[in-house]
Amino acid sequence: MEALAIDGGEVEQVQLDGQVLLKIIKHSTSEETGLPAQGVLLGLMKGGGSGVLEITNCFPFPRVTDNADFDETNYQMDMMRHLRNVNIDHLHVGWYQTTYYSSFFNKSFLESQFCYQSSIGEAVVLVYDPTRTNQNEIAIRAFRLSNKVMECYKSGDISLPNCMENNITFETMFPEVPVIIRNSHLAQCLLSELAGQSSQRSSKDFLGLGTSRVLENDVRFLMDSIDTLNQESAKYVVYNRSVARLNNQKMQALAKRQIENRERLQKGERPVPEDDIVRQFQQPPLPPRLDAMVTACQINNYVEQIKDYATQNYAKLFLAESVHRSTSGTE
Amino acid sequence: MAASVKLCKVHPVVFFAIVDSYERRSEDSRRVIGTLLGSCEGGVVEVTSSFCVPHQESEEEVAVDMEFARNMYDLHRKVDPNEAIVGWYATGPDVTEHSILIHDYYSRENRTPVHLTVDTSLKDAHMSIVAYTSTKIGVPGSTEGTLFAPVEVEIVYFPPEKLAVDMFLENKNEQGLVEMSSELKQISKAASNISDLLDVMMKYIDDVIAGRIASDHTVGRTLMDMIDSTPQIDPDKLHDMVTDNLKDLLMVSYLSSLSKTQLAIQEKLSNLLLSNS
Repeated sequence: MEALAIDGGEVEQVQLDGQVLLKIIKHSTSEETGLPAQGVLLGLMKGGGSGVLEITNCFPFPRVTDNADFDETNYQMDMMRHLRNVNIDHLHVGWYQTTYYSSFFNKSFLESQFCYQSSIGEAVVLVYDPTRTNQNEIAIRAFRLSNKVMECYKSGDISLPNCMENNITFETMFPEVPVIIRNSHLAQCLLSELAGQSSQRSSKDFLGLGTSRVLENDVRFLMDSIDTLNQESAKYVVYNRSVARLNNQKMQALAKRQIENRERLQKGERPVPEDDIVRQFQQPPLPPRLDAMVTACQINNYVEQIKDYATQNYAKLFLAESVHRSTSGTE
Repeated sequence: MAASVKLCKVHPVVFFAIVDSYERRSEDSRRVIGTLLGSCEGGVVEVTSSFCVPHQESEEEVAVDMEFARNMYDLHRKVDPNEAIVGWYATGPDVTEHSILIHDYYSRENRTPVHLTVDTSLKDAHMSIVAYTSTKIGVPGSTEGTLFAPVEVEIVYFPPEKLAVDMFLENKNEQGLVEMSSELKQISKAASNISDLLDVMMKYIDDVIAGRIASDHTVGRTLMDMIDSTPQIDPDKLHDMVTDNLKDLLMVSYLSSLSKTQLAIQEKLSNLLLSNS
């Protein structure tokens, strides 16, 4: 893997070649449903401090087999070497993943992006959602980890004080980078050629009013995430309760020891130290905060999606109502 | 000989990859060649993928890096074992003599390879796309020649591919870049599409009534069917249905915003607790 080791140059925009989008679509279509399709993005950072990351090519990862690890690195090296021979940009700039119903925020996602971003400062992850694309919009989004999150994760300290200091909330953890698509001039000629040849337009189901199925799915996923978050917060409550109880017991034991010591002093013996009591009542470990934050990100994602979908459907409903009103008005 | 190829279906991703590899060719080559991958069934070849193969071409000879081609094919097969070599492509307007040699090599991989040419030099002011298969011609006994016979090319799309290509065509902003459109813009675009189609239809109907165009019974019947298919709903009932649906949507979006607010409150509370303790 070509490591650029540039430290976190800010990526303000991702410029995608049309070819990359089509390749990602093709990979996701040919992959069996249910398995996420993953691959590597190749490209380069546009110079001049413009903060634009150009993604010019990509290649898919093979499906996970038994000896996955060994194959993967070799496969990548081979692929990069061959692409270099045909003048394709051989610099890694990120990875892509397909997801279903936008449920991609989880720990492995975070870890993979962290790995990529720690070796390549500008790594982005492109997420393509074929289920949302069925509703007539190409759902492709780009994400990065903010620099603060990178530092925290590297140091392994994801506790609350650290997060508060660096202003890391579930909203700022995965900043989204706007995606724009670029086609070279020759590709534009190709497009006009293709347009001339094919006459069918995309399906008309888009303006259909059957909204409940998609909405049900979204809400179901939202409920699942909320349940997970609930469990995390229940863990935290239990932790708090056990800490309080432990502290109470420690106080009581210390008080007893002090009374004992006073009696001993009266009798003229040496007081027994209190250290062993302190050692006896050790604090339990703090439950990890990372899972909760990632789940919160996911919930946020679902909520945004539901709101977008609802916006579209308001428009559709009003449209349908006015169409019908005008037809019934003229009769 | 295996069934001859009658139709060649190509996905747009192949063309984009061809154009991209042409743009990235090394300075001294005039054209690029590469392998086409896909599947072949009956007389129909479906091309779903491609990759570029480095080659050198001069007046007298042509050299193709076959090792490269074989390795790349193996790598591709790891991702999708169902893809097979179905032919090869070349950019440029004509089929040259060197193409015969290259075609021979590909004939070893596949019985009837398809040769696809994409005219990137834009002769005749457009990018012509032609596919050929080869047949042997000549008088038996004397030297045989090869004839490249054209095969029909059809561009097929997976539904998301069609969406993507349409988006590339329609969403260009001033700098020629394609932006992702917001949800409401998509609705307004779809609505204006339908409005345009309706205009075309109205014009046709007016013309037929005025006698400018001959009436066609099948078209008339289809129009009647279309108009009959809009359901006749009592306007009050329609209003009720629409408001019910609206209420559902509003409720769901309210509840989901509520969960987001809950998350924000939890964050604030834990921050507060921490700063107090």
